[in-house]
Amino acid sequence: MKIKLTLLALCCGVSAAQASDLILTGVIDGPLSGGTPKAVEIFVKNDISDLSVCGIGSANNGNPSSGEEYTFPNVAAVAGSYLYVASESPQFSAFMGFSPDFTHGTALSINGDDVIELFCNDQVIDVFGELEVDGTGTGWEYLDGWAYRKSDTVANGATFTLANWTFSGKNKLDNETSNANAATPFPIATFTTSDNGTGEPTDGEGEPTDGNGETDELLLGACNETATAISAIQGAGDTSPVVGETHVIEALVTSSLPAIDGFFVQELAANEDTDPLTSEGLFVVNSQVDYPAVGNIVRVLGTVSESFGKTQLLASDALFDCGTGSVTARQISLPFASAQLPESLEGMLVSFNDELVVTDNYALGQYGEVTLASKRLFIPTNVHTPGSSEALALATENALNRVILDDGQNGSNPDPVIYPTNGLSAVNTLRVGDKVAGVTGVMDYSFSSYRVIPTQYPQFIHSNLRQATPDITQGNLRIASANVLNLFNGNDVGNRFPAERGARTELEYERQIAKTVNALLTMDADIIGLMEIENDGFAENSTIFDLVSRLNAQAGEGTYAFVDAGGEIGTDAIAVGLLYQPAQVTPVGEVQINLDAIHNRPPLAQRFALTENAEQITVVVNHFKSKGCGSASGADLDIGDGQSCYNGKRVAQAQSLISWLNTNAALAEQDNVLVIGDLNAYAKEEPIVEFTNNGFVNLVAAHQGAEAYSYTYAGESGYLDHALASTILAAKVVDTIEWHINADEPRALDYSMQYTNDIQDFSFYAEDVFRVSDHDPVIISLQLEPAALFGDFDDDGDIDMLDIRAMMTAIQTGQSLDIRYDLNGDSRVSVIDARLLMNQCTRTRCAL
Amino acid sequence: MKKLICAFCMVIGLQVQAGEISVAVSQTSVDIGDVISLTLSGTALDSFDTFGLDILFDTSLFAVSSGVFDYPATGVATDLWLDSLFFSSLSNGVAASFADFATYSGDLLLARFELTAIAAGYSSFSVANVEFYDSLVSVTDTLNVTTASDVSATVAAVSEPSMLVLFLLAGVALLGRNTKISG
Repeated sequence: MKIKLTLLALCCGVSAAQASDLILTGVIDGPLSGGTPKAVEIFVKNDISDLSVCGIGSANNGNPSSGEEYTFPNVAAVAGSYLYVASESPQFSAFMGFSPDFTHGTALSINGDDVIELFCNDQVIDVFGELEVDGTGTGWEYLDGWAYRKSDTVANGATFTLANWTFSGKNKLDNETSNANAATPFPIATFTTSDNGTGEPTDGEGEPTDGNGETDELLLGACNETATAISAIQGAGDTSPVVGETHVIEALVTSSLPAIDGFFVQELAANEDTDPLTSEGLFVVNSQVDYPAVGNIVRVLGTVSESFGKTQLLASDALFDCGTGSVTARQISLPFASAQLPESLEGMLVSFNDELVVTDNYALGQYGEVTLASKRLFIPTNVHTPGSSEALALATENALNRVILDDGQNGSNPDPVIYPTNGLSAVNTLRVGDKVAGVTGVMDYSFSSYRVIPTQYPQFIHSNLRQATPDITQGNLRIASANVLNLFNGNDVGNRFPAERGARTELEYERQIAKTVNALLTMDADIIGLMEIENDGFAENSTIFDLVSRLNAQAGEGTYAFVDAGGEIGTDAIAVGLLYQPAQVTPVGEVQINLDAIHNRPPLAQRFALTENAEQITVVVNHFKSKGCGSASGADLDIGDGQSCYNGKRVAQAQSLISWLNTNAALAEQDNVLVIGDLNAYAKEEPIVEFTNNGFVNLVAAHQGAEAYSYTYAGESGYLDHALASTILAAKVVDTIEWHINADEPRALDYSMQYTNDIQDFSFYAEDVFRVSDHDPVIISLQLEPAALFGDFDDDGDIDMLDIRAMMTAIQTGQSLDIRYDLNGDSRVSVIDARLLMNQCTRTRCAL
Repeated sequence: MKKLICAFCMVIGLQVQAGEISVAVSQTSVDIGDVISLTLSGTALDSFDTFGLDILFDTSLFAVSSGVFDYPATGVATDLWLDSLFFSSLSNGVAASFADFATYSGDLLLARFELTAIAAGYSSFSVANVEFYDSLVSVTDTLNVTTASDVSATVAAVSEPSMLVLFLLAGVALLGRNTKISG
């Protein structure tokens, strides 16, 4: 429970602030408009009579200290409370659910890479971040996320100690609308300390205690003496009923993990209780250099605490050799029978009965972990109507069907990344859909998730193999939709990088575009719709120009061209684009741009004619508004039906596009219309239904079924990338696939060098087609043929005297002819109709 | 030769106000195996670019030269554009059609082709289902074209030998017999 600051009127009896009275415990760079809330949390260790001797300041972008930019008012603060200082109040309140205690725009003008300094009496008493270092790319970056001080660590004055902090991870708060509902919430007011500045445990009133409210000191004792049952420490709920108390336990070591500063113990079977809701395992934070061996029975004296929801014992004394023994791993399976089940196993040795499936590898590079489930999990609105009972049931089922396979390491960006076998690399991937067998380890809870830290290395089975080329049925026209992951070739003048989005350096750009070119060439589409390409026009220094130049450098001059839409399209940083192969298709008429203000990224439409037979098709490329909730308000807010924010806007964009296709003079008469792109809506969501209710056919659903996917988010798969065909065109579609070169691959294998070390920069990267983007490309194969030529009796593609003769023969011999051949309208087919058909001959005088 | 020489080609026509179509055969009395010509003519025809008609006869007695049904027809003489002339074999004759971008008028040889007598019997020759159009004038109204009267031809099963030939054969036989006696 968060304890809000109690502000007291200045009075006597409480002391002025000392250096150890305040601790900087948290910093957040939020996801709302303008990156709010921007705030810090400060823990009050001791009563302070006058806060005005203290203040706060930030140092931005690698600059030196700015000093104390904000001084607290002359109010008192009570020990054990938390202060919240934010850059503003409304957004902070909206996100956090309570108001900040103080606001100051300048002092809290932070952006996830800035330093915070806490002052008292003109001295720096605590600091977060390294002065004169831009936090971007450092271990303490908290962009669109947060950092939180570990319990029982102390302020180090002007010295920043990275190890004293935990981090949400960069961008972990993206798209979140409230901390309460966030997947990785800021751990409000969870910092605890047993040190009142003297190094002694306190009872909250600053008095020494034994943890039981008694002043008698509890001693470790000897092996086999009476000890507290772990089940009593764990309790039957989410948190321990004896937090803050000192206890002695005696149990068997199941996993010894110096890398995370502790070891797991479990009661011997004989000492277990009978309550299935109470765990028999516990994590012991080890303060000693030595660690006990697995299988040893240990006796530990320590204080019970909750660390981000994990019950643990902060060891202060221990005996590591009270004999040996063994425990049997609890056999379990996914999905969990209930949400309470993993909590009842917290700290215990468990073993999964079945092979599990990788459902999320997004954090594999950054945290060395993957999420496992019993099967691939699907976004509920990819398979069920949003808000339906089926969708809600699937969401509930999915929530129970996951556990993280941890690497047993603290910190971020491990090297090596130990999963899969022989370690992650560009040529040794671990894809979503791959299987993992023999998962046995201790059940841990940290970073808001239940996770298994293996006690034996699991078996990885590469069951979802890479597909180096798309497996698609051949037609006579191939069209692709490809999201190119913010492909920006940098600014035109001065330092090109970092650009507004995408690659941060020239080298990163070269790595990115090399993979992009490779993927586009391999899919060998005649027409390619692009999303997330830099909106910088079509001149020689534009990204699309560069992309086409590089494609042609490999494929041959003139193999690819782009549709020139005249300049920047709309005002967004990214745009859609169209590439084509001139040998295969030719643009017909002018490109059409939908400038309806509802489109933040205007759609493009272009008619093409096939070289082979002059058949025409209109391709419309789109990138609808994303699901991110950054600036959402009113009707754009997430209503909790699974469609996230801006669903109404995406529906309006779909309606606008359909209306445009029906009314635009250059588009309305076209039968063969193909809408492609990243519509930021899953298969069953309302924007897609708008299309299918208006005569469009969902080609991905038609050809790949209900479990198609092009994207994975939070361990669930679905498709945001669509191909929607007019009814007439749908009949000419031979095949449609989502080429799974991206969504299943770990993010660590993309072009970025942001979270990799010098070795990983190369071991994680290959100039191949995999993890080019976060979206899989959609590829559509069509067979466009001219409609049967009326009067072409011999079906040779023309009308000549042989066809006239055939018609004459039919008339002469009394064969039945379609009444459509009654060209003079006299209700019969006769020689004069054959004469009239001659007027339709392909060549002069119906020459052969 | 064991056939009777046809004394004349019988052509019977019925002159009417507009054009007239007639059919004629080169011989009215033939033996099996004989080849005769069938002529389809038009007289005083108004301008036309399209026609269709059937030439009716007993196809068990006369076989049409096979090239007639080729495209373009072979063995067919005509005043028209041959490529625009089409023939089909019917169970009771030959269907002939014509469609062209040019127009024709007046007295015209519409088609002439050969028939081979294949069985003994009697067959009339007539024209039926006639329709002529000038598509530049009307695509629905037919031109006023009439047909001439039927003609006919007889095919003999076996030709009767002439008296002269019989006498000559008898004389040769007798001379041969006398020579053997004297010798």
